[in-house]
Amino acid sequence: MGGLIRCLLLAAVLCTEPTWAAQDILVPAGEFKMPAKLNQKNLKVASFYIDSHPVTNAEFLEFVRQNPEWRKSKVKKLFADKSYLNYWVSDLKFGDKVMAASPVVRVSWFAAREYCAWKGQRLPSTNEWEYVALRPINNETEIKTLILEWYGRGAEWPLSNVNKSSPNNLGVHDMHGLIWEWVEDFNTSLVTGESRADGGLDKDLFCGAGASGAADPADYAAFMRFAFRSSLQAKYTVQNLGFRCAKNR
Amino acid sequence: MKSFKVSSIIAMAACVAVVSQAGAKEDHHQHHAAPAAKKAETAPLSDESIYNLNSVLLDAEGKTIKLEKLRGKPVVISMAYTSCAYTCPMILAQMQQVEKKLAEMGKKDVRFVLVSFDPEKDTPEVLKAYAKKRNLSSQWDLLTAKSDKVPREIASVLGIKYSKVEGGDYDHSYIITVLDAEGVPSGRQVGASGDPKDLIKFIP
Repeated sequence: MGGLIRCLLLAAVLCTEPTWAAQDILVPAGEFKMPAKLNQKNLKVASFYIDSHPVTNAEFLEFVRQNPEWRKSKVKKLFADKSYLNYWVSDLKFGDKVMAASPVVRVSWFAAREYCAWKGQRLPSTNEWEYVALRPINNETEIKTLILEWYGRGAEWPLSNVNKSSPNNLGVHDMHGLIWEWVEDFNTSLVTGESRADGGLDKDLFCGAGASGAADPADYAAFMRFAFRSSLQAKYTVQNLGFRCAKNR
Repeated sequence: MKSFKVSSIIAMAACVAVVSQAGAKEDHHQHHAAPAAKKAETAPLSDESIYNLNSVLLDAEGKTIKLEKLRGKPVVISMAYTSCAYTCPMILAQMQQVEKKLAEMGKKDVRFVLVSFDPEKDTPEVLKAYAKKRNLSSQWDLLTAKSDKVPREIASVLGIKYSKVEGGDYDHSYIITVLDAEGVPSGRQVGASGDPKDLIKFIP
């Protein structure tokens, strides 16, 4: 009898649970070489958890429902620019139902960070994100084609649902091909030196035109990500910039 | 020559006036400190104030403080780390020039704040020793934190980029920001070349 009830309960949970609920994917510790950097050294990454997909509009709605200070009419100017959630029709409506499972975008770094903290998580670091992003999808060739094709395609709107594309070999979806994502230390990369000290920062990050030494076309894509991150300010919101959360093991 | 004398007398008179006014204000403030202070604290912060951050910092005494504690006076703020050999001493020196210039103008109600990039090495004790070594006046606050999350937040509101590089150093932007008494940025200097006068212009 107890077993039956448990079974029914489980069935109920499975039915009501939205299919896009993010799973924590355990990322094993390891080393990698950051793409698009010269003088590459192995970077160590400790094992951690990462969401299987970016945070969706439906998930973010729950957050703003419970945290009124992050509604678009209430958010402080310090924490988000004017276009924060500007495609949502109102504070608690993201518009068309079909958008429920598409990634939330037009969110600032502060908002993304608060969301993750609310979930008991945090944003992934640049290293963690790039480490996961290098994982192949089915096979090596496919990921590069996917990335370059996506970067060449330009902006799409509305965004499609999360989890539609094949996951990488860890089971993580949408690292490429859907949106760009915030990382905790987005303000690490400095492409233009502002002082002597700054000049040193990205001298090892080669620019597009001078990248003739790039053996790997995926480096171009990574370079674009670095350039994009370095153009951001924490309160910026962008049409194709969302996020996912991570957690310490 | 004569006009020089006259103008210097006027300037001196002006200085005396400013100083005595400041003195008068201070007195006034002391008499009515409680209600005035209370009012300032309870008034809602401007949306653009960096004091909206809830970051918990540590001062050189090891006490936890929030940025909002700086509310009430203009602030000249930047970030640094004490083991830094090149740009940080320059940032500090430039801020001290601003302090000196302001003192010459008779303006002492300005705070100078440096937040550390390096919470691991820059413990309150290290900051305290650094303040002593650098001869920092009582107008200064050296702040650190318990985790790397906090400097990342402060850097984010100040538009400072930084990363840890090999050997324990940090590469970072050279940005000194002026905040008004409510914590709203009123101007900043980007890059090492700057005249303290330009920063002083932003001080209300």
